[in-house]
Amino acid sequence: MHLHQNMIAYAKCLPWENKITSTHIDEGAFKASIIDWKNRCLSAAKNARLLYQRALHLTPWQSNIYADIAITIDLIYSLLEREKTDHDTRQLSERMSLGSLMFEGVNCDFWVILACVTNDYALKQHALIRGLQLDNSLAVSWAYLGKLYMKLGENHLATQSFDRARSLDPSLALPWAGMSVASHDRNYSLSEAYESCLRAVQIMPLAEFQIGLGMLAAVSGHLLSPQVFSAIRHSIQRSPYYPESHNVHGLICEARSDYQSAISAYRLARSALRIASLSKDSAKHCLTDVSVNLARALCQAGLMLDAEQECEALNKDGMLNCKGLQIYAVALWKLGKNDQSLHVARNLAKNVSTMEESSCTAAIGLICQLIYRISGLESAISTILKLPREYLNGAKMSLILSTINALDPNNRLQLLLPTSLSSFGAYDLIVEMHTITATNKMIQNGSEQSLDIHSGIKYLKKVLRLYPDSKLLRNHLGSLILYSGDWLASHIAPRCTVLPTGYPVRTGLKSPFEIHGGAGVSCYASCVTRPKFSFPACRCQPMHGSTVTDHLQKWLHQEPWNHEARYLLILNLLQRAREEKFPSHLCIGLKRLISIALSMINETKYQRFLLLLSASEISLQCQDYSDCTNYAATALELLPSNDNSFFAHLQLCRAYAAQEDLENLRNEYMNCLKFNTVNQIGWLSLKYLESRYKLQNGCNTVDVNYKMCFTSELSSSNMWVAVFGLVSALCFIWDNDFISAEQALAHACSISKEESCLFFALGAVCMELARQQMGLQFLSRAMQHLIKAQETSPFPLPIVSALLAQVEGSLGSKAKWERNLRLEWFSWPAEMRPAELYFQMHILARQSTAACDPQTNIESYQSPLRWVLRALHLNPSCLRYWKVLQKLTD
Amino acid sequence: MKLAGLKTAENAHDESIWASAWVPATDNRPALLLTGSLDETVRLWRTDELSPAAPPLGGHALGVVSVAAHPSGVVAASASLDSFIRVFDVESNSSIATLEAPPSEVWNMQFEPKGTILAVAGGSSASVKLWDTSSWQLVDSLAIPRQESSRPTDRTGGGKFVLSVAWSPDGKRLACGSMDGTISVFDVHRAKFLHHLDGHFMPVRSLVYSPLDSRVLFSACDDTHVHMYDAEGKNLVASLSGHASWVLSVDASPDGAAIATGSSDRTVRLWDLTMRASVQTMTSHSDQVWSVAFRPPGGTGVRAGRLASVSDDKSISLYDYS
Repeated sequence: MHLHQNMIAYAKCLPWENKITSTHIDEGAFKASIIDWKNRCLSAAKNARLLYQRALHLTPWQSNIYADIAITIDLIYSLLEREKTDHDTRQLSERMSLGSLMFEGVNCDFWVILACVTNDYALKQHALIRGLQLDNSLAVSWAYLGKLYMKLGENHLATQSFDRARSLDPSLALPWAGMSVASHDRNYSLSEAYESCLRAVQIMPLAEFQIGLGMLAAVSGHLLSPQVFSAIRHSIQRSPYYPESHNVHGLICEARSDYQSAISAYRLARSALRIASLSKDSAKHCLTDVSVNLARALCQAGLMLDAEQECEALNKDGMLNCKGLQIYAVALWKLGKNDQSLHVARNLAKNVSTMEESSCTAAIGLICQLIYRISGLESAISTILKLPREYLNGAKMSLILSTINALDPNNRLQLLLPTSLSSFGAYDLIVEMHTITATNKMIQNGSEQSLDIHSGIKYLKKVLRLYPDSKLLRNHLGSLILYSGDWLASHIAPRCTVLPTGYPVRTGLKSPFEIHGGAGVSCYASCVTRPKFSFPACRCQPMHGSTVTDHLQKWLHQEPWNHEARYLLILNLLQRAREEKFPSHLCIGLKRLISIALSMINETKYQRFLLLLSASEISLQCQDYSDCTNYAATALELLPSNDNSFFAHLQLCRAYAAQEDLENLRNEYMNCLKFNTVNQIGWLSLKYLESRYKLQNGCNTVDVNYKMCFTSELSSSNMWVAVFGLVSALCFIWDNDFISAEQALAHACSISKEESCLFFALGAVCMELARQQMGLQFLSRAMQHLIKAQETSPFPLPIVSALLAQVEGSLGSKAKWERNLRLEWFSWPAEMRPAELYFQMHILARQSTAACDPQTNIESYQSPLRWVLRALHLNPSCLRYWKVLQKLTD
Repeated sequence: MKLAGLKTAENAHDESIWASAWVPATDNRPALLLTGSLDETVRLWRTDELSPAAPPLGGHALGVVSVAAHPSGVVAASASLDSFIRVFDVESNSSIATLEAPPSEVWNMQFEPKGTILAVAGGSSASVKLWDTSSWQLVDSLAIPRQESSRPTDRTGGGKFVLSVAWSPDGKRLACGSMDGTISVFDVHRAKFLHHLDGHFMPVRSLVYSPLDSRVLFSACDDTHVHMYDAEGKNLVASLSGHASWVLSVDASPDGAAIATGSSDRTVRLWDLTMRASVQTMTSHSDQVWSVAFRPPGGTGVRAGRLASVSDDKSISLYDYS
């Protein structure tokens, strides 16, 4: 008997497999595959019936076999889709179930089965009530009674029956499903309906329930729920001939931004509709809906031509409704057919008065946006001013209005905007309005060419104080800070944006990852956490935990297709490689990443340009000069006349300089001068090369051009002046002109009072001047500057204390000399201490008295001999150490 | 009980003033007023003339959202939108420590009444961070448990953003208020969450315990009400209404008889707790009032009560409370 039941279950559960994978769905093939599937189900059911018949033949007194046969026959008929009027055949199942009742008239289940297999409503009701008379707590009977009443339109009775069934047995699926359908009549909210339908699906995964769940999800905004997704996939397998299941599947795919799957789902839905035996009117209505859905999915997938064709076909049949018109207008606009698009928009506008409120705002919003995109700001504003006021209410419309108003320098739409933002209620909308206001402020206070980013930042900071949890605000603020050109922007911007932990949602001007990635490459001292490689003098506080590259790697892992992620990761890794002095493992990894990125097509030209330059830089560092020049030349071809090409020429300069090819170097140097740039760092590099290779031709073009680059941003301008002083000083040192170097550095220090590196350099130059017997005043000046460097540096800078010790020593202060030498010992990380430091410690150890405490005086930790030995171990090539060793051992 | 305007310092900062706190008096100086502003500085003011007591203190980016003073009056802390907390010596303005938190995870702060712990409202981390004030290390993090009603399908990830924090005067309890209106009460010694206080459904921007009774908690909320809770018994004792817009700040007077509130309706109100009603409204500010603070008692020969309020209009107002 179990085997028989399994056969029925097989017939009911055999899944339909979608073997059609191509985008162009052949209706014939679809139909054939469904018929094939149905036939397999049917043969299983028929086999089951035969088996039951045999069983009945053997044991004709078993009443339940009659009932089982009745159920099987009912299933076969439903698979065969016999018309309900076909009396003779339908009566067979009825007769079989009556047979079971003949034997066991008191079995209430048999009455329910009779009710299920019969077509006669009166008999159905009678059978169900009879079942209830036999067992008044028969929940199934109440449930079917509810279904029957619903079919008959007795909604009140239906709800009552479902209520009873549910309270008798809450584990029954049908009442839950029934309640969700009954939601229209009662004050049963959509989300409650969704919840109860979800319960029904969880109890009993029936295709009808699942489709109902999908439809409720579509209207109640639960399309992204994984439960709905799996339910609909299941329903497609169980009843592929329902067009609804394909349609809802399409909606779900669309909500998950999987437009290709959505398109094929809608096409399947259309095929299913054509196969299904529906009345002409309802088929036409459904076809319109599905076609509009299809057009929308095509539009979102970027297949504008297909979308346009779809809309045109609808238009020919006169079935283009207002949603279709909107899609048509967008598709036409995207295809560049502006006039036609406006024509469609006008048609849409004519219908506005007949629409319901929600679709009306959507239509008007679209019309405004189209007019703005096609005909510009002026006509958009005049159109809006002509529109009746009642269309301009509502949050969405206010957003559009305020955006257009923000772009208009005269703020002509100001009067139409709502006076207080708090009337919106929802925080998201208020915050969005605030970001638009911030943009408006930037436009209003800015000039013709540039926005006043600072007023935007100021405004957003104030809003962030009010709504501190808004991610949109934080992203917006972070992006603006990055744009502002503030010297510390790269440290502040990541501090106000929060990296998302889950699936990244795009809000604001830039995503938080982009802000962090952009900030990561814009500061020299990005990996302060590893003083092993560099000694950052940057005053920014270090970030704890994982670094930017880790976050970007995570992002790329999450979205491997995202070229933006790969691009930013490459730039950040290059930055790291630079700080770690281009270790070979990083270079190899970077080369591979760059070649992947270059093989993709979706990078912008500028991104490709930078990627090529990065590749060139890595080749340069690996001393692969031919590759280096090749990459730079390719980059140059990419953007031949753009002002970025300065950097390609600069890269070529560096490549030739490394090969000491002076002739080509001079050519490229002249090219750099010709192409010009507004980037300070470019001129600094060029100045350095110029002085190193004596490229200067009398006039100081580089200096003049450098000064042209200054922006209005005061803090960063000052820093650039100071950095320029440092580079000039370095150039002077090349020429052994220490007096000029001292002047340049003194100027730089007077401008930037917080930069320890500048004071360090100035102190060192002063010491050199003192060594050259230029006067004792330089010694005291050196001391002054070195102390300042010690004070301002956030980390103990190496060498500073050693120099200071030397100065103090020359001035005769032994105690200070000792103290500074000890400081020097602690300002180096253990694995990086140079041999000379050990040697210096030996001198210190010889000076100090034997009774010193090793806790405070590091030098007494070991004997002078040991110190020298360690110095020698590190640098055996230094004769000085050997001599001292000899003396000590003698 | 009444307030009398003493002095208003216009343009005390270059930008909106967002935070204020009193630095208690020490043996050699009276109490000072500490203010933090959007202009990224923290300033100290002498009473009653509101003259600068020190040059502006920098070291912040993106605007100072909160300031707090150690009960000893020696140390103070200021936090800014970039989620760094700077702890500094009040006399010398030298930095003692810089406490770092991930972005958006620092909001209001308050020192424990005995001064051993600094509690920081942890913003989007949905917790309160406790920093030890001797080593300046993070010692604990009191997380708000998720409420059962929140559905798993909610994609906001808990969605709690902790704005405000308050210590009970005995130092045993800690309350924090969130963006969604819930107030959570913790047992600090056992580091345990006790319960929520219900009644608000909008951001709770400021909390303060009554200085006399460790059970009584006052909350200022965007719903324009100030609630008075029995924080142990989870009861709402009274709901004080009168402000026309968001209530941004609340502070209790040292005698425990009154509270003062600042609101975005640009007023400062004084509430009599025995009458449970607003008894006075000050309208000296021309923009929203971000913070109000009563001067703690103590100091040489100072008996008179003082209330300070700071506002978006860049001014500080000082009132006599009697």
